[in-house]
Amino acid sequence: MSVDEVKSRLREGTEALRSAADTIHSVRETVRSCHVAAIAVLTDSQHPHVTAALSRLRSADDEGELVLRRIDGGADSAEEYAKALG
Amino acid sequence: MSSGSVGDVIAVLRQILDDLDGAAVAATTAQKSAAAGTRHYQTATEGADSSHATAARTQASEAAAKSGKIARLIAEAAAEISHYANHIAPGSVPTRTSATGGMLSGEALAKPSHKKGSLAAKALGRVGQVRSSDDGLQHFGKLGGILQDAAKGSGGTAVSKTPDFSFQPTHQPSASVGDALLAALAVAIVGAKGVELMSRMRRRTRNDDTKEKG
Repeated sequence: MSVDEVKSRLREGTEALRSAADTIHSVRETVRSCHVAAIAVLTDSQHPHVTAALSRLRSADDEGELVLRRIDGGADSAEEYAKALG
Repeated sequence: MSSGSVGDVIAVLRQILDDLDGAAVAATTAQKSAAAGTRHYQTATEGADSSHATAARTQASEAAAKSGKIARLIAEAAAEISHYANHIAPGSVPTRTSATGGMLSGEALAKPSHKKGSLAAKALGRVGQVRSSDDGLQHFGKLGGILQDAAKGSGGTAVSKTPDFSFQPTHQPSASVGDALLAALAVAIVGAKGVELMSRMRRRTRNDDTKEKG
């Protein structure tokens, strides 16, 4: 694979990751909305199903943050690698 | 927001379940995209002895795995909510389990991969002016007004914690449910402090109710 081909493939990889990041951003928006809507209608409910659901939604949002960080880090590393190729 | 019959609550929970189904599908789509990106990186850096190449592959791979985890967490949350809905109103929503990924049928999968912020988008149209705030507290009055309007619209009766056997699955949500949702989402948009705000306003509304009745 030529240097140009490698760079092109790296760009494709980054584009796919950026697409994933956009989707995860939207997913987090929905998760947060649902989280607060659930809190609003399930007023002070301590039912195990409610607490479990809210806990999962919080975790999903937290994981979303980690995904975005990994994608930024991965894309930055790919760019550095491409630069080093000249 | 100490308001709404069991039917109103179920209507909101159904909307939440619908949105979570879409979000779970979207998270799976993100997982596939990240996995495709990982494969491109692997191909491009094959045999490379470079810390950057390794970091790119590793982080892309982790992003894919974590996106899959998000889909699972959302499906589990939806399963818990469906169990709760059926606890307060038996038979009100189709039973789902996290084992099936929260999906009920091909119907959910056939929907657009993700409705663009379905709940949030509606709220943004209504209360977009609070979105840019750094501090939700300064909008306390405005949001409080929205919430109180919602509470008035639904009659101000307390949410029943016990199963309401007169509940009719065919019950149509009242217009106030949408308002209540928008109010809740308005708070979501202003950030983490919104949850605390919601709690405070709920207590205040409840206290007001008590005074009126007392």
